[in-house]
Amino acid sequence: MADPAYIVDGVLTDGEAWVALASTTLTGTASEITFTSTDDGQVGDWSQYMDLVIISYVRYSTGATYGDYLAAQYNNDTASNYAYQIMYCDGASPSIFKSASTTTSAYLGYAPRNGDTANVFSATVSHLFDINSGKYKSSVSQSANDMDGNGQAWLSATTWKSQAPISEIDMIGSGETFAIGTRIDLFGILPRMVA
Amino acid sequence: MAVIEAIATTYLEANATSVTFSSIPATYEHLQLRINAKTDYTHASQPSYGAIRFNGDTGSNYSAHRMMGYDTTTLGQAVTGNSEMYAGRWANAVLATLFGGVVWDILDYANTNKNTTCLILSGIGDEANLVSVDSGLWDDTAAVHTILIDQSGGSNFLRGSEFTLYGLNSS
Repeated sequence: MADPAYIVDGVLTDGEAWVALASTTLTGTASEITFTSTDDGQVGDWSQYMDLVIISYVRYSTGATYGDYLAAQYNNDTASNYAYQIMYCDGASPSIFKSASTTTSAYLGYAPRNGDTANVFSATVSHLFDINSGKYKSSVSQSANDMDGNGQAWLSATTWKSQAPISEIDMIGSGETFAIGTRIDLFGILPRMVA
Repeated sequence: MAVIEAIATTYLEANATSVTFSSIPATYEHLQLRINAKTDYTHASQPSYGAIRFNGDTGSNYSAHRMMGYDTTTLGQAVTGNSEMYAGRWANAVLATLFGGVVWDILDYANTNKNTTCLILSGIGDEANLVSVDSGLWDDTAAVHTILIDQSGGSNFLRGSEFTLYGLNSS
């Protein structure tokens, strides 16, 4: 079994703190994109990381116009265990809403749908914090969704109301289907390893 | 040489009034703080204010702008002449398992010809909901060598709060 890069000849070191874990670029449409921890002590084992960062460049092949949510579900939890705070601006005054009750996924951003201007994808960067702790799992996201005449600049904070470590992420489109060319990258963020 | 290196991590195993990173090398291009924290502030509907002080400077040398979505309200604020950089938010004590996430970028921190400007993204997705993007200025050209992370409203960061300082290299 290969050691993670921070173990060199059996010695703990501090190398690259951001580790590329997975990258998916769709060559066909898909209803979800899934990332899973390998749980094997190697680079893809999420139990060694403090945070995760998800970088999403997304478009949907379904729906009319004005885009739709980009969301995540953790550990196959599809129950109403996610809360959120969102602020966005669509060209008028900033709008804001929060979860009056919990929802079934974490809202990370917004993305164009099939009826929106062709070849436009939204850009979203999401930070998931302390993913192996006994805390509820929190995230903050920035999303840029400009559809050539409409769209949003977006900020969101989400909470997955579970104390379980995150070992799987399902990226979904609130009932939409991801279009060909959609790309999502996952990074693991290490803490300081050596005192 | 690593492009992004973890300089130090503090994971609180007991409550603490503040967290300090000192002797920060001047060898990186930029710094990033990644924080997942809460305090003992007990206000039912407000998160704790975040705060940072550089190099022990307690003078009125800090300012900030905030663009927030707070509960059902959008809010813009500007503050100046403060003794700390009030920006970002930590979760309050109302929900024990809820911590707030913050990414605090400190750019060109070692350049002694420039004041230090920060970009802060923070959010809490449940009790005392808030999401905020802030700017912060330390009106001083000294290289940042010490960062004190503080809080306003409560007395302590609570056990389980986590702070990691990263250094970004150009290559």
